[in-house]
This record gives sequence, C-alpha cells and structure tokens, in this order.
Amino acid sequence: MGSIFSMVFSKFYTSKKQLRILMLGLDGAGKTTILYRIKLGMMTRTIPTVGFNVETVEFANAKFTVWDVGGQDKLRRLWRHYFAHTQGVIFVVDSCDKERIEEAAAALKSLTFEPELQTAALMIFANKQDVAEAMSLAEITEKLKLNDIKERRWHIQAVCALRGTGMSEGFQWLCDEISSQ
Amino acid sequence: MESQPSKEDIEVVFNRLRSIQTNKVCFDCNAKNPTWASVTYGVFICIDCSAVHRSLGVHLTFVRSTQLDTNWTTLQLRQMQLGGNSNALQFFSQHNCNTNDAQKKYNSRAAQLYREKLSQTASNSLRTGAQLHVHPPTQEKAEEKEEDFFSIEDNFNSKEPSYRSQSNIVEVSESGRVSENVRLADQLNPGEGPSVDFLLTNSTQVEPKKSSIGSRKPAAKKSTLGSKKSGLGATKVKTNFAELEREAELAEEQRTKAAEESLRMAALTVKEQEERDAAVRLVYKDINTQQQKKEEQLRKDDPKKADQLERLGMGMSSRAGISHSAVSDMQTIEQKNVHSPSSTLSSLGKLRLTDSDNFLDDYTYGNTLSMIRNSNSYGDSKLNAFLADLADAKSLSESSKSSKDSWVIIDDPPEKPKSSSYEREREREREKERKKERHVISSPSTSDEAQKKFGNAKAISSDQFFNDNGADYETKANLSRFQGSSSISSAEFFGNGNESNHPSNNMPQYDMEDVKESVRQGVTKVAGKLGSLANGLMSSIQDRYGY
Repeated sequence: MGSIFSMVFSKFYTSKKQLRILMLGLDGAGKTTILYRIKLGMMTRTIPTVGFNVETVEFANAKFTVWDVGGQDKLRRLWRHYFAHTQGVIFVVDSCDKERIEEAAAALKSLTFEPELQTAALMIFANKQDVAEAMSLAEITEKLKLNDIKERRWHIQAVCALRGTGMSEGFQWLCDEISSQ
Repeated sequence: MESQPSKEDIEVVFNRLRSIQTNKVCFDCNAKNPTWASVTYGVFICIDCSAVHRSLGVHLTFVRSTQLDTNWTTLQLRQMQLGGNSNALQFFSQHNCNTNDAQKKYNSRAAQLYREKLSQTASNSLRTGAQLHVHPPTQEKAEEKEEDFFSIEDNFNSKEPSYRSQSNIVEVSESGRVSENVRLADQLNPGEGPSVDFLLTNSTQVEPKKSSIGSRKPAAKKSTLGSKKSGLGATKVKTNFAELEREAELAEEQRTKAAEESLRMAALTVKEQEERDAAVRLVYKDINTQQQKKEEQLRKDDPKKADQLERLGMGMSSRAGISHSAVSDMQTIEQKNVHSPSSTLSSLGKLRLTDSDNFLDDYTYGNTLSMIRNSNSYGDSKLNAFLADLADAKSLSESSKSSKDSWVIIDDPPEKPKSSSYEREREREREKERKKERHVISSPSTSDEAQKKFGNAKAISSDQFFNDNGADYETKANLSRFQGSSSISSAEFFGNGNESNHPSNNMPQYDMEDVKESVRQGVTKVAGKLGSLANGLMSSIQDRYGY
C-alpha cells in the first residue's frame, strides 16, 4: 500500500523533463567546449572530436541529454545517425570564421530538410562573440539565411563558451520551446 | 568558391607531403606522424597541438584534418605544398621567433608575415599555373618544390611581379623542366654569387638572386639537411645582394641624373667661373664656395636632397656657415608608390636602407590589402571582395601619393623619429582602410535587413526576424527593439505577421510556467503530507489490531 503512495509521489519528485538535444556545427565551432562548459561550468581545452561526446545536464527543471558530434567533413555524414528522437538541435557557429560561414549555412540548410528533425526546436549558438573580429548577430542571421527558415521556429543566441555567457538563456529557450510543443 | 580537388587528389597530395621527413613530426611539439594541419602556416601538427591552434581562432590559424576533412580547396592544398614544416621553422627562426608558447608564437610579427607570405605565394601560384601537381614523380620533386619556394620567397621580397609569375610557372611545371629552370637561371645571370660587376649593371635587375638559388639547387636535392643549409645560405646572399643592389641603385641614380644635368651644367659654367673669380679674392672662402657650388650642383642633381640638407641644418653657407660636408655621405630615399606593381627592386633597395623593422612595416603596408582580405572578407561574395579591393586600391594610391609628396626618408640617424612618425601615420592609414573595408563589406549585401534591424542584438529568433516581414518601412522603426538584447527568437523576429501561427507569447508563457510550477509544488507538498498521514494511519492500525 505504502509502495503505491511512494510510487505516486516519486512521479512528482522526478518530474524533470528528459530532453534529447543534438549539438551540431562545423569543426572548430566550439561544440565540445560549450558542452563541457555547461556540464562542468568551466573552460576546458578540447581536442578535435573524432566521434562524439554525450553528457546529461540538469538545467531549468529539465534533464538535457546533449549529444555533441564531431564537425569534420567526414564526420558530418554521420550526423544523421543521431537524428532519431531528437527534440532540439543546437547549431553552433564560429562567429569569427567569415570564410566558412557559407559552409555553415549550407550545413544548417540541409539539416532543416531532414525529416527526422522536422519537429525539433532549432537553436543557433553564435559562439566566440568575445573576439573582436566576431560578426554581429544580425550579420550571422543574414549569412546563415535564417530569414529563409519560416516553417519552423528558431532562435539565435550570442554565446561565449570561454566565459559561459548566453548559454543558460539558450537552454531556457530550448526548454520552453520544447515544452510548449 | 574555389575549385574543388577530388578526394583522390587530396589523398595523393597528403600522402606525398606527409612522406617528407620534416613533416613527420608535429610542428609545435615534435610528436610523431601528425595528421592535422594548420592551413594558415602550411604546417603539420598533432591533434593535441591542433587543440591549441583551434583555441587561438581562425584569424590566426586555421586547422584542418588531413584525414577527416575531405573538402580541401586547391588553394589550401597549394598552401600546404608551398609551406611545410621546414620552411615555417626556418622562417620563424630567421625572425627570432623561437618561443614555444603558442599564444606568443602565432601572435608574433613573424607569424603574421609568414601567413601573409604563404597565402600570397599560394594564390599567385594558382593564378599562374592552376593545375594541381599531384603527380610529381619522386621524393626529389618534393625537395625541388621546397627549393622553389625559396626562390619564390626571394622573389616575393623583391616585389617583382613579372619575375615571380615566371618562377611560378617553373614551379608548377613538371620535373622534366627542372633542368630548364636551372638553365633559365644561368641564362639570366651567368655569374655565380655576388660580383662587383653587379654594381655597374642596371639596378632594376633582379636576376642575380635567381642565380644563387638556381646554382644551389642541385646541391640542395641531396638531403633535407642540405636543403635547409642551402636555404640559409641563400638568405645570407640575399641580404648581401640587397646591400649591393642598394649601392648599385644609388650609383646608377646619381650617374643618370648627372648625365641629364650635364648639358644644363655646361651652359652654367661661365657664370660659375665668374662667381669663382669673385670668390677667389678671399682665399679662405674658396672652400666654402666650392661647397656652395657643390651644393648648387646637388640642388640641380637632386633638389629634394638639397632641401633635406638645408632643412636638417647640414647646408654649408646659407644657415650657420658650418662647412659640414655631409653631401657625399647623404643618401636620399624617396618613398615611392609602394603598392604599385611598378615599384620593383629600386624601391625595395631604398626601403632596405632603413632598419629591418621599417622594412617589415613597408612590407606590411604594401600588403595590407591581402591581409585585410584574409581577416575580413573571406567568404564574402566576390562582388564585395572586388569593391573592397577597389576601395583599398584607391585609398592606397591616395596614401602613397601623399606619402610621396611629403616624406623623404633619409638613412641618417636624425631622421629616425621621422620615420617612426611615418610609421604611425601608416598605422593610422591602415586603420582607416580597415574601417573602410568593413564598411564596404557590410554595405553592399543584398538583404541587410537583419543587420539594420538587429544592430547589436545578442540573440535573434525567427519570430523576431519576421515580425515586420513585408513591411520594410517599419524595420527601421523596430530597430531599437533589439538594441543590446542578447537574443532574438523567431517569434520576436517575425513578429506580428506570424503571431497568429505561433500564439505562444513569451510573457504569458512564463507566467503559465510559474503557475504550473507553484501548483506542482503545492500538490507535491500536500501529497507528501497525505502520504505520511496515510502511512501513520496504516502503521497505527497495524499496531492496534496486530495484523
């Protein structure tokens, strides 16, 4: 009898949402650094990801399972294997990499066509905003052609993985967005 | 963008490059068999050092994997081919950059110079010979490539475009033409090494440099060590030549000018004779007069020099009457149009007169264009780059014109402060150019709606973006909405137009969330109390009735 009660109550206690988040982006954008910034709360020097990293992060009454997949050209072809059941996509862009912003835009565009990601919330992290040469958020919005993405909701957030700014706002948006769906 | 070499080509190129002995260790930490590369410097690094490089930012060093990246561009491959660990190492050590601290190393002047040089030589070599030489027959070819790089390096310093392109043609040609390469060099200058004859030849000749490299080439092929040595040797000779060239250049200048003036001088001799007769009356003044005459002649020869002389107080009679014969030692250096392609060795020779820092600065100045392009406009549309180039060229020509008018650098100690102020001015000019460049880049973008709208926003969302989509006149009015905000969401961005589709307004949503949370907490609390009550009840019943 008591076990029934406790079962019922435990439902309330562990009411945290489980969110599966996939973090993608070109190589060197800062995906792994962001992942360990939110996981450990400190700056880590990361080596290029060959394969993937996965961590669970509790934040804003939700339990995020964040998958961070390597962004090298060959590894990009493996992204699709992580798409299933993904509720939110974080696309990380290096704000200083003006040369490859088009490449990033192409990668992002191909993601929006993925049938498995049609329901996923789209979050764009404009990383490395602390660098003087960084493009502004508006510029990145322009270059990534976000104004062409009208069939789904997106959010672009200026972040700095080194200092840890902007990421909690970003995850808050993801949380709200996914729960509102 | 650039042409895309096939995967097989890339593989072949890297197999070849990584088989070079010096590329078998990490450029930074000497770890074995590095598979990552910094395209910016054309060096091979290990995965641990690639982490360091990536943390420095793409404006300093751009890291790619030789195995995981399959979309290398031809230009990047060419940079790797022209670069290589040994060349970079040599360049860094030549420029006294021997630190192991990556932050210092890649922020140094040497690093800046090297990455500009490499990108420029790579793009030049692509322009002249577009084919990717992926099938050089032997390892020797690789060595030869390195050698060629040095010749280009020399070349590059001499800023002689025609010559450079010529050598690049040789560089991209098949190895069968190596002998031709050497032959060409011999043909251009039969003499080996520096010779006194050189002083008498036309100063604009650059060929002797070539000869030193050409003649050394066979020796360099023997081993990597040899090639290194020869590279150093070549540099030594190079500086020697710079000296010789400078002298030759000055001598030539003097000579030609004297020849030009000789006719006019002949017409003036009678007058001078009279003057001299008058001056002879006072014997002690004779020397003075001669100097005066000298000065006069000088004035005709080189009015600028004379002006300088006068201004610096080195003139003989007119100012203080000090007969300081500085004329002969004095060399006038005129800052010519540094940027123009016609400014070849002659201007270089002059630039060399100043200390090495100055030279570096001049170099940078001349190449601000490429540097800025590196840092700013990569990935921009070609139109933008073109516009930027135009703006650059314009500003450069303007600045160089003004500098030509107002600045005369003299290789004398008193001039030092002046040259530094000149540097400062150049710095300012560069700054201006950069600003201009930025402006140019941003202005012509076809739909800068977002830029206008979100100015300094820290985040943008689709709702925000499309808020006033279709009502362009309102965009400006809405500009201030996102000023200073750190995020923009789609709902905010697209705004009212799409509001009906996405009814979730942010504020009510937060409220709902709060209410939900508080209700949940309340329920949990009550349920907890109920649970403990029930448990108590159960246990008391159990106690009482002894179940």
